Amino acid sequence: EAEVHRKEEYDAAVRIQSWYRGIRTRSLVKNLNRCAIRIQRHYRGFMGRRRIRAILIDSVKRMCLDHYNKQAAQIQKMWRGFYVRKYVFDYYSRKKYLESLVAKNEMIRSELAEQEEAMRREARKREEEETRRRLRAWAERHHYLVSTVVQPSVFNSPYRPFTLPEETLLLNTRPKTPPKVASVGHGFDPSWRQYGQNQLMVRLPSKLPPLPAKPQGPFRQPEEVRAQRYREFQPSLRVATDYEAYGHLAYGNAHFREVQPERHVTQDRFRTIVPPVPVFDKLNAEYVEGYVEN
Amino acid sequence: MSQRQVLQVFEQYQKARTQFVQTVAELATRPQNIETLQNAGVMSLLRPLLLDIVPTIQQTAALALGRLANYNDELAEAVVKGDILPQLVYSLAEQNRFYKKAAAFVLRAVAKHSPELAQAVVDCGALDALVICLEEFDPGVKESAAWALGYIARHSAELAQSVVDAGAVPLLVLCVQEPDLSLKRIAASALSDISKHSPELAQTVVDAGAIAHLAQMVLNPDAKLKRQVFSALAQMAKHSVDLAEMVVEAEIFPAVLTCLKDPDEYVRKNCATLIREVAKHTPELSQLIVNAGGVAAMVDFVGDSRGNVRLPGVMMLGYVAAHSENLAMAIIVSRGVLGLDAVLQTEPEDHIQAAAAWSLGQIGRHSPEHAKSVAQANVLPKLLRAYLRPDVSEDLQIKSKKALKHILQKCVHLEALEPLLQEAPPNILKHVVAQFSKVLPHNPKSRRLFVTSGGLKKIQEIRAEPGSALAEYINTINNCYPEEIVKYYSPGYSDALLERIENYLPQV
Repeated sequence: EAEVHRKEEYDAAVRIQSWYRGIRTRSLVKNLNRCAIRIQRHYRGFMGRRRIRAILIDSVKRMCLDHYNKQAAQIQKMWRGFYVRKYVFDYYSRKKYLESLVAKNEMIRSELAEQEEAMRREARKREEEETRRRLRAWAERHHYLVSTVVQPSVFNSPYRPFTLPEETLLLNTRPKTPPKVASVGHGFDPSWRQYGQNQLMVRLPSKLPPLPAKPQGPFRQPEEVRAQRYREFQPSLRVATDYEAYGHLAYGNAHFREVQPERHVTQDRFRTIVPPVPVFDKLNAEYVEGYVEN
Repeated sequence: MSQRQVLQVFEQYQKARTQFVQTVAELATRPQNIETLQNAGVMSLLRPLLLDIVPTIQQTAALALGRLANYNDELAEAVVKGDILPQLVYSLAEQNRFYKKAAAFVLRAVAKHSPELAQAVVDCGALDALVICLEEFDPGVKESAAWALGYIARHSAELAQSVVDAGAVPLLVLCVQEPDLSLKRIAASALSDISKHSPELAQTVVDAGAIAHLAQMVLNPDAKLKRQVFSALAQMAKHSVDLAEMVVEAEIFPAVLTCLKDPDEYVRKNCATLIREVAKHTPELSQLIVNAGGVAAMVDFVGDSRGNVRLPGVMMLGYVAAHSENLAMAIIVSRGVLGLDAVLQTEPEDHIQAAAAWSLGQIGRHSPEHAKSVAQANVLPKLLRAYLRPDVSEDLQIKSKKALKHILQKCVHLEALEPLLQEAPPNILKHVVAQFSKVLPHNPKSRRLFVTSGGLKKIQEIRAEPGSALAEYINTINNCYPEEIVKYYSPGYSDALLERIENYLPQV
């Protein structure tokens, strides 16, 4: 019977031992778990606190920035309101601007009206001048329509009670002869006495005489040559004076070199301090004996 | 036969040729002869005379050809088909100035009719020859060459580009400085034709220094010259802000305002076009013009001119007002609204009325002040009538509707709105009633006025779908008044009262 109980006791002992072993391992594992958890707990706390710190720093920074931004926005808001009220939408200055604009408009309008008036006057004057010119040109060319004593003209018809204004116009304008046909240009004739006028330059021949076959250069400029060739005649005073100019004064003949011995005070020569010089006596005689007659 | 007799035959022939060509040239000046000449085959006869030995016959033949080609485009095409152009271009380089003038005249006469003909002229290599002609001394030759170039460049941007590529622009600018008046005119018109097509072409012309010289001629007494100068400056200024600023920097204001009063109406029109093109780009440019007194001058111009001439003036006022409310107020203060009102009333043409309606809309849409000034000028009924007339163009309808809408959205001046209650169609009525519903709840005096003037009655007569914005506005207005008054004015109230009489049992 002990054998029977041995198994039971053996089983019981094993059961107790297994339970005890279970307890021991469980407690060991629990301890280990607890340690591990503790370590992990501390570690997690550490990491979390670190992260929180970073987040905290970040959020504090952001809060500071927000604060500064808000303050800055406040300043800008106030400045913008001030600026706009003072400069952009300044009611009084706008009113003044509009008033000054009205004044300026009036000024411009009056100036423009003046200028327009001036332009119109100008245009009218030009028109009047034009009509006057045309009438004068007509009158100058139609002088033959003037009425004579014998034959009244179209404008002075005897069947009409009054004369037409064209008649007075024709009478008052000086008739213009038709322009002379320009003759072929003469060469310069030195015997012409019409120096002093510049008509020489007008009457130049259209072609200069042809050059010889072998030209000898260098030539002066054709304008220089022409000016020299057709230079104005510059006479001396003697040539320019008319032959009969001093007709009443008998120039160049006896009167100017005349000697009137009967009016001399005495027939003697003047007494000289110096003895007479024979050469002077000779010179005092006439150039040609008998040349000058009294 | 003796030598003299032989030579006599030739002389006779030459005399006959000269006489023929001179008579043809003379006949070609009158339009009624040209048909007969064409039927007689004058083209084929004139063509060999262009190659004649005698220079006078060549010149007169070219002149006759030019006059024929000038008349209509069939003859011009015949000139092109007859292969005459290459010959002309070739001799353009060699002959004397009379021939050059006549040849340039022929080229101009051919090129003026259509872009294809102008392209044919360009294809013959005429551009280089014409540009060489521009370097001549004789102003007549330069004038013909510049005229031909202008006509070529007028048709399209490619042709204008080819003219510019031939190097014509600096020479044209030189021509503008010449003392000869007709040459100045033609050169200015050629520059205007070149620069009108695109900003690059205008930039090329400006780079050649054209603006300074054109600006100097603004005060020239000759009217035709001023037309061309203003047209050229306007074409240059219209493309971009930079070009407009360069035109303004040439100090044309305020001298330009004088020309708004010129006796010649095309000078005035082109001057107004120039001011419009400058004003439309930026508010600063418009401000510049307003400060120089340009608005007053423009309002006077719009008042004095009639017809198409005043269209640029009207548009300029609209552009200036569109930039900012400051400028719109400046226009109102310079009596611009009255001027535009006169245009709207008196002009028969639709497009000018449309422009006036648009400008009024731009003036009135900025603020209640602006809308009030516009409305006080009694403009709104006219805009409404312009919108409702059955025979108007679509453009006028759209513009007047938009203008009405803009002005109504800001208008709180109720006396001006009341006439609109009578006549307006539903889409306009919506805005009118909206404005009433904005003002009436706050202003007792206006409420009383509204009732006494019969406005409340009109409101009751309006039938609106429930739930639409119109019904909401009507509700708002009705809520401003006590029940009895609303009922009193509602339609059919007298019938309702009479019904009550029938149902009433007298209490004796």
